Amino acid sequence: MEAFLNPTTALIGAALVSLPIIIHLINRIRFRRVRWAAMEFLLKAQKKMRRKKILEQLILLLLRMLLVALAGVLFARFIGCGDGSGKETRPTTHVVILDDTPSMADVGRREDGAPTTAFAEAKRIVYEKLAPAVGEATTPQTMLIVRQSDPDQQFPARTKTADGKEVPRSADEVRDEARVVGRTVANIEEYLKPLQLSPARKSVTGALLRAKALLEAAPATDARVIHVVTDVRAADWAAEGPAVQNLIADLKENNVTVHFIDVCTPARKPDRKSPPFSDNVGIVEVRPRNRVVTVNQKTELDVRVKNFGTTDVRELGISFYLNGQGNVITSANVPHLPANQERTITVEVRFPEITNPEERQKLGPLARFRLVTVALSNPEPGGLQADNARHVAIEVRDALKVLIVDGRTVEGGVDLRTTARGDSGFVRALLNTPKGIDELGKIQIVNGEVAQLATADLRPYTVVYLMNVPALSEAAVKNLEGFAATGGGVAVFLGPNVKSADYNALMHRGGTGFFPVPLANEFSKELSPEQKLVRTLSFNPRLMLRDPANRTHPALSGIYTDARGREAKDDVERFFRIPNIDHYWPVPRRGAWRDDRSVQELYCLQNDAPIGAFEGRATDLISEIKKRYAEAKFEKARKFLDPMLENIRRTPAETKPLSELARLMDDLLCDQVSLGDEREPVLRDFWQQPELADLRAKAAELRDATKYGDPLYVVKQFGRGRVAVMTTDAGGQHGDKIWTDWPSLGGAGWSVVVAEMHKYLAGGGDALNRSVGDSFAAEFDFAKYTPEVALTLLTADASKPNADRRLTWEAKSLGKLVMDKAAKPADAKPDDPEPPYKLSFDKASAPGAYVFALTRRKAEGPAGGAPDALGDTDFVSVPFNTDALIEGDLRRANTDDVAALTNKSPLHNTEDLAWIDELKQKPTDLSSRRWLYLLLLLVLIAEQAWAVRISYHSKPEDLEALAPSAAAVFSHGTAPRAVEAEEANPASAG
Amino acid sequence: MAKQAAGEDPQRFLDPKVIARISQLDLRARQIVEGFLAGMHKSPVYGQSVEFVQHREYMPGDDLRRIDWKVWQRSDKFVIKQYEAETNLRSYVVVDASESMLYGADKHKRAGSLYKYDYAATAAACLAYLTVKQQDSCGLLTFDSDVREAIPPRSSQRHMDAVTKALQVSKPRAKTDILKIMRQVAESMPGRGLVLIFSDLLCDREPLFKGLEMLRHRRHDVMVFHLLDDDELLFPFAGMTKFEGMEELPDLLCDPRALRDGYLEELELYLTEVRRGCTRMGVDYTLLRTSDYMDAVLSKFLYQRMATRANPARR
Repeated sequence: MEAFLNPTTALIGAALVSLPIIIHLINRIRFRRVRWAAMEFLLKAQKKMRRKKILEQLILLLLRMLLVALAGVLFARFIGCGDGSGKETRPTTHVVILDDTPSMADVGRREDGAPTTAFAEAKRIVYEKLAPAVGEATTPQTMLIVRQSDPDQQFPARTKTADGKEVPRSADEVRDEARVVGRTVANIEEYLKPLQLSPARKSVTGALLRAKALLEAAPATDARVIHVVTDVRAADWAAEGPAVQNLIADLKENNVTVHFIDVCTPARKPDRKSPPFSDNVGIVEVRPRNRVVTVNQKTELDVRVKNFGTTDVRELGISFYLNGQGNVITSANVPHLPANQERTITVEVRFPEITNPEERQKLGPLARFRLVTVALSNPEPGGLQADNARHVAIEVRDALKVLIVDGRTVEGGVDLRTTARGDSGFVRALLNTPKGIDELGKIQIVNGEVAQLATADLRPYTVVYLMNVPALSEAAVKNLEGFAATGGGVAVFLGPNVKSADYNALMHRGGTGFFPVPLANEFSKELSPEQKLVRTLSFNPRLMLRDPANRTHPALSGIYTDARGREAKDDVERFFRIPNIDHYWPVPRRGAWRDDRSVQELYCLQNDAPIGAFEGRATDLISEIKKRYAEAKFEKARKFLDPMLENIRRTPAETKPLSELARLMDDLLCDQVSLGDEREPVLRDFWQQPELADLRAKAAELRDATKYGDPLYVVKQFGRGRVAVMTTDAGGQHGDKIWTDWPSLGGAGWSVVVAEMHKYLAGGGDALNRSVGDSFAAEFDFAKYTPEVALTLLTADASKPNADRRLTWEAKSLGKLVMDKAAKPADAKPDDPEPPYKLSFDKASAPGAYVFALTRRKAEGPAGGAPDALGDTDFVSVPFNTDALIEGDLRRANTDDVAALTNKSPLHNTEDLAWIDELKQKPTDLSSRRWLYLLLLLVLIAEQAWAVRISYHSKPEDLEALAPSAAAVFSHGTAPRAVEAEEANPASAG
Repeated sequence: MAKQAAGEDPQRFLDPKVIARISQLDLRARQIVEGFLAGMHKSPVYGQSVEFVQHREYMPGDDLRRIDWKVWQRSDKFVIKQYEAETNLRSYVVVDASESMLYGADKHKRAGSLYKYDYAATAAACLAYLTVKQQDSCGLLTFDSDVREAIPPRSSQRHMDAVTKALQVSKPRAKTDILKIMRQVAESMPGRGLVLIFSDLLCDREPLFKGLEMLRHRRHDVMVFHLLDDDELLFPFAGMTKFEGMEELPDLLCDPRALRDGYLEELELYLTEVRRGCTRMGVDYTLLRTSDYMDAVLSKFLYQRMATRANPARR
């Protein structure tokens, strides 16, 4: 009887099933008597038709019984004979995970055409559908709501206010409030309605883990259900799919049912696995070239925009706001942004001094920070608004401090640092030129001593130059590495004083140190006069770009590209034909440093090796090529290869410069230059044959060997900072010799390269494109700072510029943080310095620049000098922005992919919410299924049809057919009456 | 005729429902026959029984007294005058008075119509009346398993009273034994005659055909009026019914609608068999139902009589 909602009706129905049999039996009891003469025929008929008639009657009887049975099932409301699986009837704890990440702001339309957002739909479904359905259940139900962006924030709240203080609530108290009764549904609505989207992107795994913890705290007898109300974006699943898959598998093992509800519009349909999605354009990254600049220094911002939609966008305007004020930085424009592609534009920026004394006073020490807000000028219709703006803070100082440590300071009573003969003369001159000031900022050069490097506080400096420094102590190396790792720049110019063994042992350390390359034991030998003459007569460049791709390297891109990102018209390399570099520190051509992706060789020297040294390798290569190109398919290539190979073969013998052989090899391979003639496509095709891959590698090796000399300019990304190394010196005079005349003769070439180097080194820093919700961690010297850190948020609301193109801009104090102090290691000596403070911050709740103000224990001057003009506070600014790269990508996940990643957890849409009825724990009976009515109708029709088929609605024609002799009797008299007429007044006799 | 003059249609007495209102059988017979005859334009009756039919040439051996001398006088040829039979028609009306003839008696009485035996008795009386009126002799025999009443053929008017009285007395009772009856009829009729059988023939076919064959063998003209009730022809019953067999047949409880088709098929087989059997033996067979007008019987009889007169050879 548990299978029926109305068991009494079921019993009655079961009794009524026998009704046709009873009627049949009653009919057999209630008969009338007829004394009948023609029994003979009746008996014969009965004998003949008995079996057929019994069968027919039996079928009719069964049909009628079935009809009654179906009607009984209908009225008794049959719910099935199963064990109730899928229809939970136990007390249940529900945890709703509400996706409140920025992508939920996607605008769509409801079924009724009203505009809505995915987040509004999500909230509506929870308080209009889920909660009331749960409330209707017959067993005790508990519902908790967890926000994906902050799983610790839940409904019901875990704290309460008592006597004006917030105190935690007991688990029972929380559970009582979560018990779903009529009032709870209203409370849930009250809680959800004012809820706003979080700018933070958080993985659903965090929320699932929180939900799991909540469910584990639920009574063991409770059924457990998780409802994930989300927008099911492809980007989310691509990033988190495997983690979610493991988590859901774990939940399922613990008998937790997980429902996914896709709240996006249009609703996800079963026949369209990848539903349509809104177009969206977002600013995915804003990267300043320099994080610290001086007033009015020219710097650049790289703005990366991406079109996540399926249609091209034209004339995309980008506005810039400086501390909330527009029209200070020139707007930019992206003429064409194809679908699903991104573009990076570079804009030139200068930061003027804040002249408004009120603003200055209001900001106090924070006045040095400029908040640059980059926003789309015309936000796209639909799509997300949150990813249309991005903030970055740039520190503007009166001057940038540069520490220059010379290897030679005083020589012969002369302070070399003040003369061009010194190791840093040309560098100092460059940094102080008006052009240098314009591009590099106002620079305050501080002279440093090698001995002080071990203890000096390098934090105030943007770049540290090591000029012909012989060696550094271990402590100095550590200090420098700490400086570089946190974003500082280190430039190293070598020279005759350098002790390469120390460099290799302490600074390079097999690739783990900040120095990018190992050095040879000795610097290069001076060329013979003949060699110098040959070099002078040669018109080949003395130094060259090691790889054409280096043109886009941040350390060189300023040289090779103009402000619009196009190739610069001025060819700086024409100056590279002039300078002579007589001495340098050779670097092994091959080595582990080549495989280090953080190390990049930008420029190298001309290869001065004698051409004859390559004759054998060239001959081998030629014979190898000739062996391989015999195939018929290379016939076309052979036509071009033969004369080229002949030239290569002849060139070493003709004692031409090695560069000539390098040129021929370049022509042969034509992979770095476009010849633009008919040979090019044929030869490219030839070298791209897979079977010639080894031959090509061999040829390329020979080409590199002949073309490139030793490295000259090498850079390394070290931590967040950057290191640049010139293997020669900076133009100093050593006795009567100079290592290079590049700074003096090369002039323009050297100053351009070194200026770009300085910009590159000064532009180091935290390169992470942080999103709201990410964490920031840093370490600070225990001895220098107090543990308290003041936190201020600089932000502006880019969605509402006023008529003066001014945004609502604010510097909002977020209180103070306390840095953690790590415990000293157990094996530490008493004299060992204290471990550093650890600053960890992951509570960014709004996009903007978060400025951490660290207080120094005492006002220490840099490198032990005078007190720092910057005061007793150090600042660290960290921008947190909306995660446009993932949240802006509104593509919706494929249904099959989601099914695979969620172990086929049910995925519902907003239109078909019939499944919610299951939560009511009112098992649906068959009366709600159409097929039962259809079946009933079919049985009824069958019964009637069968009854008519076997029935006795006889007609006069029947008599004619069955008994023509009898019918003939009637034909000459009165017509036979219809048999039915007799039924009303049946014959009776006897 | 007087009633006809008064504007009443004497033929109404052919309707069984009208006949049923007349309780006296002799009156019934007279009304029917008079009504029947009044409706005819010309009486089909020849009148005197001895009547000239034709001349034929004299053949040696012919009785000289039959020579038509008037013809010899005019044409000098000897011709013989031929006449109708000199004897009266002897007919025997045989009425089945078995129990099966009583089917539906109560119902028909309530409805004011004729049941089988009632119909048969009426028809028999009519024919007897008609026969006697034509100066022929008519006998009666009613039977079931045995002869119930037997009245030898007479042609007087008083004989009619005996016939009707015998019909009224003979109420159906027992089972039919037709072979026995036919044998008895055959033996009791010394010369050729006309045997008119009124029965529902609900008996075994073999003795039936044997009996008829016996009659035919004795060169009797046999007319079988097969009389069935409408219910027996239509089988119009519905609802659970227990059919209680007459004439010692078993009972059957059934839904009659379920068996109707089978019943009618069996009935057809039976009727066909009877009709073919009668035809094969030269027995004039007429199937009647109790609601048929009585003229069917009279017409059939008169037709038979006329055929007999017109074609003496048939006899």
